[in-house]
Amino acid sequence: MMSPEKQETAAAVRVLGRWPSPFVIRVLIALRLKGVEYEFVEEAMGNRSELLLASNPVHRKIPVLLHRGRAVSESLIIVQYVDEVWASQAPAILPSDPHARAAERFWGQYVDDKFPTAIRVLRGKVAGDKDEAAAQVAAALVHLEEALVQCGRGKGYFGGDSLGYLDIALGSHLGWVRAVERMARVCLLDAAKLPNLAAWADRFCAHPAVADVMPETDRFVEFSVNNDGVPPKAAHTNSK
Amino acid sequence: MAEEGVKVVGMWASPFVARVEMALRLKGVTYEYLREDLANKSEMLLRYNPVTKKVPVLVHGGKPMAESAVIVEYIDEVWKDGYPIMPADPYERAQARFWARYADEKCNPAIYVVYTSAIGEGQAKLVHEAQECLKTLQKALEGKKFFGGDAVGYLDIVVGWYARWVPIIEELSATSIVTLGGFSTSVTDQELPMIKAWFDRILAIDVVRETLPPRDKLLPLCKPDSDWVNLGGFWSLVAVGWIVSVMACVGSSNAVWVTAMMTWAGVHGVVLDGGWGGRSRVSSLSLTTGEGGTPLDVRAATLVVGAVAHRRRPRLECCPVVAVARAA
Repeated sequence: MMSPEKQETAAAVRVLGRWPSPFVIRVLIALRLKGVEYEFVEEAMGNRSELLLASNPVHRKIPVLLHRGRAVSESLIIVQYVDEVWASQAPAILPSDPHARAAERFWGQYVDDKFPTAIRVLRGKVAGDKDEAAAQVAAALVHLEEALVQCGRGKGYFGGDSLGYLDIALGSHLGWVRAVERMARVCLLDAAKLPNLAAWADRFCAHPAVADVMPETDRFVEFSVNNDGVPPKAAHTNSK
Repeated sequence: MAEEGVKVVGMWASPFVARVEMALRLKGVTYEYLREDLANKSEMLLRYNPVTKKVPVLVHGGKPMAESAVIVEYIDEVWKDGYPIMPADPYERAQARFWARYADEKCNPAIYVVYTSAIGEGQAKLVHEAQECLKTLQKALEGKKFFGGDAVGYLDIVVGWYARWVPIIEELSATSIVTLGGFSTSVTDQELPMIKAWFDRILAIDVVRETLPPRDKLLPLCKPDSDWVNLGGFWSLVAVGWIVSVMACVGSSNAVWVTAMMTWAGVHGVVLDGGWGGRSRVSSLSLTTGEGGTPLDVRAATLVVGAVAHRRRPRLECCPVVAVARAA
């Protein structure tokens, strides 16, 4: 039961989104990491609300963060915004060292170049060669395995001791990665080939800031299967 | 010392490399420039950026990093007491990053597609789409001298290259995206005065002018392949006995060459003065033969402009445009 002050504060931060979107999940993880109260405003599938259209007129996509009467869009941009506004609250999401920051931002962009479209192909939501898509994801994960060793320096996360920007950027895709492994019957995150990443994936999903906002793989599969009635390339409100 | 060992691995015509150099120069950082041949990538580049293998790469104190927009933020953070590139306020920073991403993901491809487009009906639609992208981007500029406010900022650095590239694309594709008139055949009647004014202001900034590739070097690089290769097609038409009329810029070396060969081959022909970079379309000219004979009706002519004179698309200035018509 929230105190009146916390209720007011919660309303001061709102997230427009839908649960299976990895981009929305990123924002929720960031807010939870910082211990920021927020209100989640669920967008209906395939039906953009007036609030969404007014808040993100350029892309009309989720997630959107509403804070102090202003809207911030694009998931990784929102994550950085959260990190900067609540900089006084630990943990830091981006590292303090500029080179490490540049490395995490580089990899964050890499993840968004390689994963979203390939996953949509593997889900059958978008036309494409599934074998090629699977190969692209697998190849990207090989690079990320190396990056984990370099960035994390033997500690549990890309961010080192604590979950950070790149953990969020990549980890948010794990729900769908595991779902498509099951649906397309393909092994993407091979524990034998990618031992660090495989261990990291379990650690990430069990993290308190993640566990409540990233459901079990079953739910992702169920969501995808239930959407089979929707034709491919239907209007996606998933942003990047 | 922060300035030790700053290297930029780049290529002179890359707008993304220009971003990094702009940022370093605004901060007053001296750096070593390592020229890369993208057709033959060096082992050094592949070592510094094995993942995407692209330029620019910034190496600082032996540590490499890639992705121009990411590098610009790095430069701002390391040399934080120098010229301010990113806004100070978190919301303004989010806006700057948002528009930078919008420009790279939406505006860049829309503009590029105009560059590769063929003259024709489809082109007007592509130009309109590019204009819509730029009009949207313009929202970040409204009421300000630069995207960064009174001075150049992050977004100006990210999109500053448009000021050099867009006018060249307008000229080469004979379109008006931002500016009406000039080389264009006015594909749409819209122009973007706010963006155009920003182009002028940004090019007046020394650091921007120094780092963008010079127009006279960039223009020839952007031009599609020369016409020489395709004049073979022209000769096959001559062999079939068609009257060939050649529209060319008086004084252009191609026109002189073609006219000479026509005379040698005993082919009737017409050389039309298309004007240097003029707006003329073949269909709007009346033609006369070299001997002051009967005008040819160009509308009755079969224009083989694209296929013969130019491999990719017809250009009406500075090259021979071949119109083929049956003798009356």
